[in-house]
Amino acid sequence: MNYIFFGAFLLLIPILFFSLKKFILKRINLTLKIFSIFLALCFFMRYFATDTSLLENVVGLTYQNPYSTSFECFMVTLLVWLSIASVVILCMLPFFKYKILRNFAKTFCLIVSILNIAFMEQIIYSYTGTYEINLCGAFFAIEVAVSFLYSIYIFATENYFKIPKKELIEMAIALPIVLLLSVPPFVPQALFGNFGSMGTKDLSFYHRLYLYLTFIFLIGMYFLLKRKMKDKEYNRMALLYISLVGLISYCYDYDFARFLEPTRWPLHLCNTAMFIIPICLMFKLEKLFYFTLFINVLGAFLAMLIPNYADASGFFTPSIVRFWTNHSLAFSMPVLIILLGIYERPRLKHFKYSMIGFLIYFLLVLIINAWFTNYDINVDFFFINSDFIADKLGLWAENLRDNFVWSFTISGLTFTFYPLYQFLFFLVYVVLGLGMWFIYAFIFQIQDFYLKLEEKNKKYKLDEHALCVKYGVKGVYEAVNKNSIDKLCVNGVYKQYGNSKYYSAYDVNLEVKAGEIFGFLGPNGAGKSTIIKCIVGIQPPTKGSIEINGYDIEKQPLFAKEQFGFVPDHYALYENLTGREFINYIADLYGVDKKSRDERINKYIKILALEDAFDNKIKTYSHGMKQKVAIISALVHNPKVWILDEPLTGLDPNSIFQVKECMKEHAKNGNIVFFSSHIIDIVEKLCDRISIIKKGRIVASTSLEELKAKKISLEQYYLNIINDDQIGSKAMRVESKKEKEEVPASKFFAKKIKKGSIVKENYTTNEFEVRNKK
Amino acid sequence: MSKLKTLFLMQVKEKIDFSFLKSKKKTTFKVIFSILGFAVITALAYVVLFLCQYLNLFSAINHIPISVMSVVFFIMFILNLLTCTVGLSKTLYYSKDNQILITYPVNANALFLSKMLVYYIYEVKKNFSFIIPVFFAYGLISSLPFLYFIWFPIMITIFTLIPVLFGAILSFPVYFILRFFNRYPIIKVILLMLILAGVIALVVLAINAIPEDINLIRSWSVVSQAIRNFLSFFSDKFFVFYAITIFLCGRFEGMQSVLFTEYSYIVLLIMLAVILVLIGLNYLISRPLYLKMASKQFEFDSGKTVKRNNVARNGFLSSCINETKKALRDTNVLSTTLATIILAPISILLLNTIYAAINTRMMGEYLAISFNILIILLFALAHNINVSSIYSKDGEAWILNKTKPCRPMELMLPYLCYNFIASTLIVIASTSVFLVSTNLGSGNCVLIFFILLFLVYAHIIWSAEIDFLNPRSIKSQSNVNPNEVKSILLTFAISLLSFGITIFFLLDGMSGVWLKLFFFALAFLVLRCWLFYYKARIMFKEI
Repeated sequence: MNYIFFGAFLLLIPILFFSLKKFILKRINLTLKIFSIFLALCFFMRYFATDTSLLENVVGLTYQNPYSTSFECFMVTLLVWLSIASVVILCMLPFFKYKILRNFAKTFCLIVSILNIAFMEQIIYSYTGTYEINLCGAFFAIEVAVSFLYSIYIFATENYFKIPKKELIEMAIALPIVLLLSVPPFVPQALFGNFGSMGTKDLSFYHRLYLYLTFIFLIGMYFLLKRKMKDKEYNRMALLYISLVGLISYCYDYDFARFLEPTRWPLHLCNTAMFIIPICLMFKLEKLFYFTLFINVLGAFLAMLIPNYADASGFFTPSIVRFWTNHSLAFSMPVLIILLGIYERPRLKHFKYSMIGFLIYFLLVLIINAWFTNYDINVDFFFINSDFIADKLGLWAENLRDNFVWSFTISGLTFTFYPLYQFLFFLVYVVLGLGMWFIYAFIFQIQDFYLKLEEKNKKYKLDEHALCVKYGVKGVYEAVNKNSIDKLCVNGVYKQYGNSKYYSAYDVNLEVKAGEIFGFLGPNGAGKSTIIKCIVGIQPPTKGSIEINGYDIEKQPLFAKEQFGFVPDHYALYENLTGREFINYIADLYGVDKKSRDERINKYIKILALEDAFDNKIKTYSHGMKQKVAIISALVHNPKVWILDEPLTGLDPNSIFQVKECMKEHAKNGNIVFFSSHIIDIVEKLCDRISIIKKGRIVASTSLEELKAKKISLEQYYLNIINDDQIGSKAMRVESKKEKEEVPASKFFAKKIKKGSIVKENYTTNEFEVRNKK
Repeated sequence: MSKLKTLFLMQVKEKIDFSFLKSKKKTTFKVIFSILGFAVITALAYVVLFLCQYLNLFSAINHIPISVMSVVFFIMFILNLLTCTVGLSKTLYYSKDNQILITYPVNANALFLSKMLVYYIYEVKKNFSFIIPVFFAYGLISSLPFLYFIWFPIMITIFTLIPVLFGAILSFPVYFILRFFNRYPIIKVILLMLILAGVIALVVLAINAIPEDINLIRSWSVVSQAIRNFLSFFSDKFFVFYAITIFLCGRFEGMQSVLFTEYSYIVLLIMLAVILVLIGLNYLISRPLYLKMASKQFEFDSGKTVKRNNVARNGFLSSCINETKKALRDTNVLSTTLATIILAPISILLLNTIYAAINTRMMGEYLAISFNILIILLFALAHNINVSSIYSKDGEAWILNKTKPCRPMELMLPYLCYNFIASTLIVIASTSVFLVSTNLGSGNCVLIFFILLFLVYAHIIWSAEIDFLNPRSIKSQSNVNPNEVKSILLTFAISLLSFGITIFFLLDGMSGVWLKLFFFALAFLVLRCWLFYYKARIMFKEI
């Protein structure tokens, strides 16, 4: 009889389709949506008409009425389960554009529909206990017919079984999750028996197991869906699926008759989450969502800690599975929704919405509890009518509840309230809700940190990969730029500290060749140390590249760092080590062999007159002695490039002379000496070439020979440039609307400033504003 | 006077962080949190006093006798005096700002006075965060009149002058003792060792004196009588403190508390006289000495030099050796390690001796085991709180490491080398005592050792991670390093969680408990190591 009904419907739909072909083809998406809504209606009509206890008997849960063979029993259990996933997928299909739904529809849903047709009699018998036609059977037959035709349609219009490999992998990952989440509450017990009958309460092992599973679900789903974080619609689809199967699981033992029992209405706080969450996801109701975020999550968490089911309930008892599905989802889903960015993070106004929502809910359940108690004494929504919570809190709470009672009668109905207890209950919940605000703020902080870290990690890996692709695996160990071997090259380096709106170094270009002593001049705060820090790898440049003897400091930091020795502007040594221990430590880091280090250390401690104190702790040294240790540590590995930042500060005249001699000797040996200093005389006598930096930009580069030829002293040249308001500082004042176009600053300043400059200067910080890329 | 005010304000801003005053929001938060903090300490003290009262610990009737508060007051006074003596010897004679302050055109007396005033204000602030809440709790539990809550803070503010002034006088000999020890460090070490040995001997003797069978319920009357005898002994022999406490809190006449008696005025007069005498002594002794010593330099003596040879090692090994050397040459670090290695096992021994003497049920056994885990972890983790500033404390030297041709891990891990070694020793020492005192079996012993070791290592790595992600200058204005606060919180969180999880698992039955905990601890360590490596690899460039 059911097959006749099914067949009739199977014919009716194509007839309807062909008779309205023109209309339907023009509005195919709308038709599919109507089809989906119709399928959902059929499903829920059948679902609420099912006799759950009968179903449990048939699948062998109670061992009372085994109507069927074990194979039939297994197939019924399986199909009841799979049908839920299949129907939800088909219902969601026209509302989302994702391939995964279509792939599931044309494979999984089609197979489930065919199996449903094959076992239709057994399934309907398990739902209704009869083979005769009835409401439940009829709706199931329609549901199967609609599902079958829907799957066939997708199958025919979506390249049949052809699924690209990438989509197949995606399906393979999603399938177990889709199936696992749609398990009806009776299935675990039907499959595995009533494991864990010791009780799932009072933080027993089984209780804790459910708690672990809840957190594993939350964390697992977050990491699974995080990769699609930028595609909010995809995640909305995934979470909508979970919330819908959760809703179906929650409605497991609901039927039409039970809607008439007030105690069974879904008004408990966590029950409300089961329909609020899918509604929020379906209709994008923002204000309602924040109610669930602040109120339901907290309620679900408390309920999971103190569950209100019977003590002896087993781990797989359907009511326990249903309880945990309900509460786990009420707890996890809002958190997942907010962490995956489907709704914006809560602001104060959202918190207000949630509190207004909570007030309305509280007043509603307060009245309903008082009113319906007249008909059913067990009515206790949100546990504010009975002494369930007061009992857990102790005698004081029970006294508080029972000593302040307000009761009155209207039209023969008695309304009883516990004003003080219920007010305090409300107040405590609001305070806890406020606490949730801080917990979320903390979670968001952690999430932001890790997302930022992940972003950087991606960039880091991409850089590594790009280097390998460009130079090959072996090439990574070789100088990336063969043209800059024996050179120190700074190519268009920009440096912006943190979120500052200004550059501290702006388009800096330098090239120092082997055998040169290069002086780097500039007033205090001009950016000398910033450039040096970028060269030695202390600070990464914001833009541009630095090559040391052909090695890129950013891309090949280890090899680049082996090429130079660095003397900072302030000695920074380990004061508790001796001079010898410190130098040996540095030599170890550079892998200097024993013979070479003996030779070099002995040479330099002799030159710098440090022999006597070399085995004393550094903390006993004077300022000059510490500076000498820093100098030796930079030379112990005989670097190709020797970089010194204000190296002569605090040294005695003899040591200054010796350091100068060392610099000359180092350059003479075909190495590079790059040093910054304020002492113009020394720079003039020592250097071959110089560059002057002013407010982050190289404003002049010249050789000392050139200056000599022009008969200008370096001091005069330096002062002219530094004091010339048109160079560097005065030019900044020039502004026009075309400013935002980029012009390399080095060229710009070399020719002095023309009108229509592009760089804005902040006069208080003497830094440059970052230009708009547009 | 205006110069004194300037000097005072300048120094007080250095000693106490007033940066919150710059914004209304921060000021409001600070005020709210201070009040909350005060309330929390008062509430905690109230709970403790309530329990004592409820258990009739000090009195047969439901009451906390004033002699109890006089013992509390005495202990606090002694502690205050000790901190003032040491603190003032540092502030007056060793402080680096002396070199600058004496160059200012101010009267030398004003300089001394400003230093004393700053220290006094600091002490008063400290009192408001502990002594006053505790005595407020007493006032609440004993239903003292409202006037007490005004009287007590005023009087304690005046009374604080005594430990400060007394401490200033005592700081003079302390200064010379410290100088002597600095000149002859070997004597300092020997003396410390002797004290330590004495303390250990005393503690072991005390532990051995614990009876083999403690039945608190049966012997309660004896214990309770002993407590009362002690209180009455204290009131007799330390009458001064008893009298001051009565002066501060009033006395009970029947069930009624009377705050002021003729006796109060006498005590007040004596107190003021003592303060005046101390001020005079300070003027005569401490002030001239301060003026003399403030201009002294405290440079290190280089000592005898022993010529050494250069040694070539592997870079990583060399870093590890150097970091260990640095730690071993830092007396603070070394003394903390030694103290922990000694104190942790002693505490475990004490705990287990007491537990062994008490006839406990199964739950008691579980609690004893879990408490052992808690105490070992608290000691071992607290020892490693310094890791939360391990990189920052090297300042620029740490930053300069970035110029060396090494991977981040090669530079960062050696810093933790000393803490790994020291923690292993602490865990070995404590676990050995714990395992000898219980019968858990050799397999479980090994598992417990590794569980503790993994948790301690994870804490070290986590603390180091906190430091390199938020480097804090050691010279920062505030005395509190937020990284250390985080590390302390982690210490408590890890210890308490481990304690809770151990109890939970034990409640499920003894089988497999240690194996489960072993895997938990291992997973935790692996997670922390991975996060450390992951963050270091990415963030090292940007530090």
